Amino acid sequence: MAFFYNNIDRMKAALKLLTLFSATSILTLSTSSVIAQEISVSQEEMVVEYYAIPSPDEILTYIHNNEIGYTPALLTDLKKSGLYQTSTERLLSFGIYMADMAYAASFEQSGTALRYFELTETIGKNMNLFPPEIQNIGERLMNNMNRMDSINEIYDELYLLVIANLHDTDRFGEYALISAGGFIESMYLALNSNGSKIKEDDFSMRVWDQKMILDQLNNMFKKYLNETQKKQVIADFEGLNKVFSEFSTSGPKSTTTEKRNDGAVVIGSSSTVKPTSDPIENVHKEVNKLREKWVKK
Amino acid sequence: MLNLFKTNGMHNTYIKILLLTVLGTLFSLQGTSAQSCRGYDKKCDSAPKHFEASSLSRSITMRKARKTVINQTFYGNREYFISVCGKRQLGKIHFRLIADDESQTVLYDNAIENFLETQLFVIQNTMKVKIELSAPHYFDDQNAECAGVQVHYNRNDK
Repeated sequence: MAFFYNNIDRMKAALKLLTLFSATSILTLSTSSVIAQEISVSQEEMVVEYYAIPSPDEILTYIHNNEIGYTPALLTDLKKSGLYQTSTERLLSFGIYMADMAYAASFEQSGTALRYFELTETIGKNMNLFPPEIQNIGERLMNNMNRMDSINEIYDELYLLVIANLHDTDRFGEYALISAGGFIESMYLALNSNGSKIKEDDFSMRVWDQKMILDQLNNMFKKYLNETQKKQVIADFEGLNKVFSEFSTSGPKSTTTEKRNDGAVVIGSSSTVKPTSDPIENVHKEVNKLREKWVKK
Repeated sequence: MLNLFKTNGMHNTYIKILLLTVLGTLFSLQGTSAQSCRGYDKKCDSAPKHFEASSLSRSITMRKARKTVINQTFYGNREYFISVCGKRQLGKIHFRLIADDESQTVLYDNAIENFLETQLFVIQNTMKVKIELSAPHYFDDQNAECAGVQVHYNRNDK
């Protein structure tokens, strides 16, 4: 009988241990799944925050607006790809090469765009930027070429695959660096291409609009980069941040929305955006300086 | 003595089964929390044909009482077609577009349109926005489900 009661005591103890173990594990699992994300907790709900930066193609086409001429001399040298040694350099270069591919593709330079595609595919594989279950991504995309309209679609698919994979695996620091590389190269190509209308107001305003992307990149650097990367990249962007800070809005900003008859929501801002001086040349200079620093010659 | 050993053996078996059940539950929970939703945004309604896919689209994991905010920049003089979707279990997806400025003005809220899943926006000036997504009718404490937001754009000046 005593042995029976001992068994019951042992069972109770085991059950207590199991309960404790289960509770601890559930708590651990529920927190570990969101550990790399930006989370704030209110009384009743959690908020998970992400950043989404337009691709180099979207930035480039927005700025140049089909007003510049294709200038192949500006493209990054493919033969120097082996010179990027650190992971930061390689991620920045991946973004730069993607922007070059987008630039060539947007001017229907398929041969050039494909050479950048081959290189980005190799870098992407080496850095595990593609989803693991997708093997031979290049072959797959090339085989589908008949069904695709153009090289632009190969670019889109490649870029979206990488971004979706980094997001899915919480690799937001790598995403920030690729976006930074793509951002600077897109600005460089738009500002330096033949026929670039830097002196014209509309073109200048589209360059100034990139301040909003820059603000979001700065937030991503602070949140997602490790200390070494953060120190280096924030220092690299110091000059560009300074010249963009000369951009200001005059008067209080108010955003208006209006529903159109066809159901579309029209959103506008009443503020007048105006640089405090004429510093577009300074932006140009800082973009070229940073690009010079990042691209191996 | 033999009976007592048998009883003890039965209890050990019971404990083993219990332990396996708990571990099984934990592994299944872990599987849920680590599930991949990559590509789920492609299940959302397509944009009109002349729109281009934007790299701002995202697939996300949704949980009870969790809001997901995606910080983005919308360029001026462009139309943006946004469509949201989620697994059936999540119920309706609540989607708001919020101006990311001092006022944090809510520019659009699909709750007032019975949680409409698609909306076309005409953006006049470049602006920072937040796309906020939640599943207000999802009450499952333990499981997460996939959802997505697709962003397409069209240049007005083309």
